[in-house]
Amino acid sequence: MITGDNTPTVSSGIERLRQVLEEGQQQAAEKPGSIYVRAAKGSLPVVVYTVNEVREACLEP
Amino acid sequence: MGADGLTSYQAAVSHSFGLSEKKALQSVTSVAAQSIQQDHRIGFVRPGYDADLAIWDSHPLSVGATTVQVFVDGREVLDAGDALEKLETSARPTDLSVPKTRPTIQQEKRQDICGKAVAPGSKIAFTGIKSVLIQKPVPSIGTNSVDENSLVMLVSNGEISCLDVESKCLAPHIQGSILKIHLENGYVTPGLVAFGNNIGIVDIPSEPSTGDGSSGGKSNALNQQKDLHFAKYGVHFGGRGFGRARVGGVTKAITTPISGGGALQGVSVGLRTNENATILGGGIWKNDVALHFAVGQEAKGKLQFNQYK
Repeated sequence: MITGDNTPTVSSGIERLRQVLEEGQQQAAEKPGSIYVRAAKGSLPVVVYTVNEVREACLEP
Repeated sequence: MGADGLTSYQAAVSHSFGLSEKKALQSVTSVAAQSIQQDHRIGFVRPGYDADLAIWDSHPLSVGATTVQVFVDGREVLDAGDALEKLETSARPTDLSVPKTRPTIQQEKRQDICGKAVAPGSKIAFTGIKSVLIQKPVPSIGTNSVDENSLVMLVSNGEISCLDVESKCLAPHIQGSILKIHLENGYVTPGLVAFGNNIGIVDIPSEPSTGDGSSGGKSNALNQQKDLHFAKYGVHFGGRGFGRARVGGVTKAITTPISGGGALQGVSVGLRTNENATILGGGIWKNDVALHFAVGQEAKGKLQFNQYK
């Protein structure tokens, strides 16, 4: 059981997303109306906001 | 001249609000040079002056004008091959013409028209419609007998009661006075849906007390009961964002809860931007639109005020 959630890394953010969807799948039978269950099933859209930041090194001529 | 987007954009906006073409262009060339006392070498295309020049693919004051080539101290900055290719194609007259300025209207005339339009039971006929881009089919469009400009849209009680040729919509048997508004180059488009804004959840992003407020940093995505937030419980109507959205043609908005950082942002709500919308009176067209997550630099648990750009 995780208390005081922290996602200090990109990878932990993705782990959290996976855990949420897995929880949704597991609870499908008991709580059909729950948000995570609907998200895991696909009946509620899931929007993931992310920014592809490309930092390029400058080469001096 | 500011070959970057920003200064020429400012000049274009000023021009569209009424600054003359000449003054708008001078503001980013000669007058700007004079103001920093460099007009002896820049700001003009004259022999002996610095060869700092920009060549545009269309009128610099028009939206989307792009530089084809930029010279700094006489040297080409952008790829010479690409630039030459573009310069060899001839420009269309529409690209070179001065963009139009925004029309203005006298205060009294505006009050007169708007007063009639919002009066109860009013009927408004929009003429001068060039194109209809909504899905609802217009029976007469597509037949050769229709002159493009003869389409009329009749609006009564906030609904489109007729969208057809003038002869059908403005038949003599229609009772009551009709306010006619003639459009220049009018289009009918579907309402836009705003996404990724703060409409309805906060009025001033830097001041959390003007909205739902911002949740603390720590939240546990796996603790649905406590930490999964719904925008539908935190929206309020009547903020300035709604009015501005309406002017821009936005009829609906999808708004997420204010996120305090972290991966889980919450469940968004679907709002209408109608002037008299209320929470229980049709202002919400969908309670739960989507479940929102943020992955990446944004989700590293920092407190964000203006999350969306």
